[in-house]
Amino acid sequence: MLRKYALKRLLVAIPSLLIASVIVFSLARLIPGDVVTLMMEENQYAQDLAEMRAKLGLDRSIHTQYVDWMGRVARGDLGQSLYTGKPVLRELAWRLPVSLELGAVALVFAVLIGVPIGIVAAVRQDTLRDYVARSGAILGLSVPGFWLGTLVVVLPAIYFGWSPPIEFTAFADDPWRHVAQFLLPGLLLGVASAASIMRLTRTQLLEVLRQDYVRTAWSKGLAEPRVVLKHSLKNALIPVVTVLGIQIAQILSGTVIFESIFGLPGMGRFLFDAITERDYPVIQGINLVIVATVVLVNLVVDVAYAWLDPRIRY
Amino acid sequence: MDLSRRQVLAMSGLTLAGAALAPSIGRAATPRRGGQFRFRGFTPPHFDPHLTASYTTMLNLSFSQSRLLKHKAGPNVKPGTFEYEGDLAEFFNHQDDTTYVFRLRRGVRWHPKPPVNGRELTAEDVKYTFDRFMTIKGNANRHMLKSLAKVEAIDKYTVKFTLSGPNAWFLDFLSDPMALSIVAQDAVEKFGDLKKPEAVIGTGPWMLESHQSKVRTVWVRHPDYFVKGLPYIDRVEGIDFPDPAARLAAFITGQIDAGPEFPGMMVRQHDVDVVKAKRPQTRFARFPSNVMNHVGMRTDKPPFNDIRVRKAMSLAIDRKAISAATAPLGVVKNTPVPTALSAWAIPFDKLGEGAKYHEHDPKDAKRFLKEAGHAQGFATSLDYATYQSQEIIDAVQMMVKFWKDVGVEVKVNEKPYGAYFASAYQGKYEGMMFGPQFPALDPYNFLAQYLPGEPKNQSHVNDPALTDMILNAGRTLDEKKRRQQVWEIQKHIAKQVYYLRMDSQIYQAALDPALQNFGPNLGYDYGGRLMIAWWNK
Repeated sequence: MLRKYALKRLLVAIPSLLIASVIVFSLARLIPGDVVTLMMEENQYAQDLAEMRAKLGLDRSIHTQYVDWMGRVARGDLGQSLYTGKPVLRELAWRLPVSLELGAVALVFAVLIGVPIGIVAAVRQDTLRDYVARSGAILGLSVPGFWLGTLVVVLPAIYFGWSPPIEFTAFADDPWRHVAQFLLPGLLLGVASAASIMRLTRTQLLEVLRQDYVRTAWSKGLAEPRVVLKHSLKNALIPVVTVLGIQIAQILSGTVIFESIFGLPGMGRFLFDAITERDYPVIQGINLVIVATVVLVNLVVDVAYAWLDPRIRY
Repeated sequence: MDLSRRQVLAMSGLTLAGAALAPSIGRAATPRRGGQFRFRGFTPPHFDPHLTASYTTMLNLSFSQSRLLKHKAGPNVKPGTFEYEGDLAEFFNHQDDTTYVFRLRRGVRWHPKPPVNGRELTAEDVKYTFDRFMTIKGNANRHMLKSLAKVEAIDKYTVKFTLSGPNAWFLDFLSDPMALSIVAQDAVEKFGDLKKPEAVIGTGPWMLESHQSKVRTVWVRHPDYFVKGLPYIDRVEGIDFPDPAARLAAFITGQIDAGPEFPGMMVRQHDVDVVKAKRPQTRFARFPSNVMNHVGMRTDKPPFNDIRVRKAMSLAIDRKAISAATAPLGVVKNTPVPTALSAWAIPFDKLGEGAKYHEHDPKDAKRFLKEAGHAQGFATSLDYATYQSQEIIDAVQMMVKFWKDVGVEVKVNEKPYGAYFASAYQGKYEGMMFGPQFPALDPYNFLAQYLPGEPKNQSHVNDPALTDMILNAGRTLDEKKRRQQVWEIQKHIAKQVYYLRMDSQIYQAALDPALQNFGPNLGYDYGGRLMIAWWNK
């Protein structure tokens, strides 16, 4: 039954990916003005306009371009960066892990902060702790990440003479330093997601704590940690898992800002630079990878959701 | 090709007559070898100087490549001056107005890397470089040498340049760090072009050791550099990080050795107090910027073909108010050649009649508008790009207000940088445009914007008398006489108000005080300036 469900979701994911690919492909071509001229004027990516158009495949009909692009994508060829001259996939190969590491650290922080605070807020509903937790969550959701990131970089430099290292260290060079450089940006990137997770955990847990079976557990004289953590939390966390899928998409988009502020050479910064440099093959390639990752994560989350709660079917 | 006896004799004469090109090494104390220098680096699109106009490429190549001539560097050089001296050339002479002969240093070694493997540089390398520069398709800087007709390798160490006509700016162009570094034919043949980091092979003071795009670029000392003992610093590291706040934090905390902002290793004016407080030992050097914002106008069409309207538009602007809002630590008033280029800019108080149009006088502005038949004002447009600079946005908003005060309604068209660069920057706009000009190191680039047919002629100036004056200056080899001509040109331009010049801010170069014998300056020649510096710590 679960396999059939997973297969169905997979089939739905394919048209989603195709539609996304059309959007990603069209975006660069919808920009007003002659993009090729602009790219030539600014960056001299080719020797003349004709070569530039040929390089981008713009000398053919739009349908041919799309089919050709998708054909190459299917073969794992995302084109060539105009700025570095290297295949986009090769560039992504060493940048994607940086973003995934940052995303993973952010997700860990989001869960480690959001779930426990959500539990405390639910269990101590309408107390000072609850108010503080909820206010903190609203703050976490409303403070822009780029502002928080900038403050965290600048203020310690001004007051303590310390700032995060600006040089990226590869794992092979110094494993501890490598991991350490992700902690601060990961924490900041995870804050907004932690706020969402906290609010949802609290709401869901409050709902579960009012269920009859929980009342039964209380009446049996079970200790609070056992009632909350063992009997209530598992059921309350099922919707949180779904939200995690959405949060992953948010975290991935957040890497664009945080990688730039903290000098991490990941996919987000690659995208930021590519936009600045009008490196359209890279912009297309990265957006496609991000879209594919989000679709894939949501697929996994949906399947996990069905696995966690066998009653759920669409 | 060997020199004939007659030529040898002629060259001997040239030795006496030719310009002395010994490099200047101003020593502030006893030099020390060793250490590394870390600065905010820039990832270039690629490393081929003949296939891009990007300053990031030229800046990176300034560490590894040599030119025939270079700008003098050191603490005794006044920022904004660009006197040339020999780099690969031992001396030069112009046999006549259109012929320059350069004798190269002997024993100059390429970097010990394949395919050149440290072989000796010869005149053929120089000839190959200039031939490639002039003929390769897609060289956006070719215009720099448009007067160059022919380059010949007379013998192993002698190169002859023949120009199609006299060009007094030729040597300034040769010494410019923009694009004129000497490259190896072997490298081009091996790698197809010079775009890849492994193709960065030069005769310069440092060798490119590694390059990781958007992360870091590392250079190490060239052991066989042709000036014995140089460079003093063993390793140079350019760390590329995009966030301005992170850059400031990195400098305050000593993670980089020089101010992180481009150009000139500076810090932003509003960051100076923080730097002084938190890294108090920082050595500052203040000098005017050669980045000059200006308003271009369609002087070929009404209403700006009327000089009275142009004068009114200029008099309406309160430049002092704009400067106070955008550059709290000070500005300099600009002449048509930016004041920063002090060797060529006419002192503002000698600008004559044109100087008064730089002042704020709304009453006079209204009078000029009335005389021009615009007593009720008129409507026009202004195209610009923000360059992601709050200063530019503020300046535009303030100018629009000042013009409105005298009755001129200006519709602002903010364009993405690319669209602006491809249109307004190239003179394609309706009413007015606003933005910075290319921060050249020579006056010619600023004067070229008054020549009909030049892409930089954003105001569509067509003034035959002025054209003659500019071309005449280009034919005048006597520098003193030429300077006088350039001053006269500036007086004429200021009087005609072809552009509305804005003031330039004062740069605040910031350096670790332990860095000795380093003189900051404008321009991209980071390597040329660092070569003679050493650490005293």
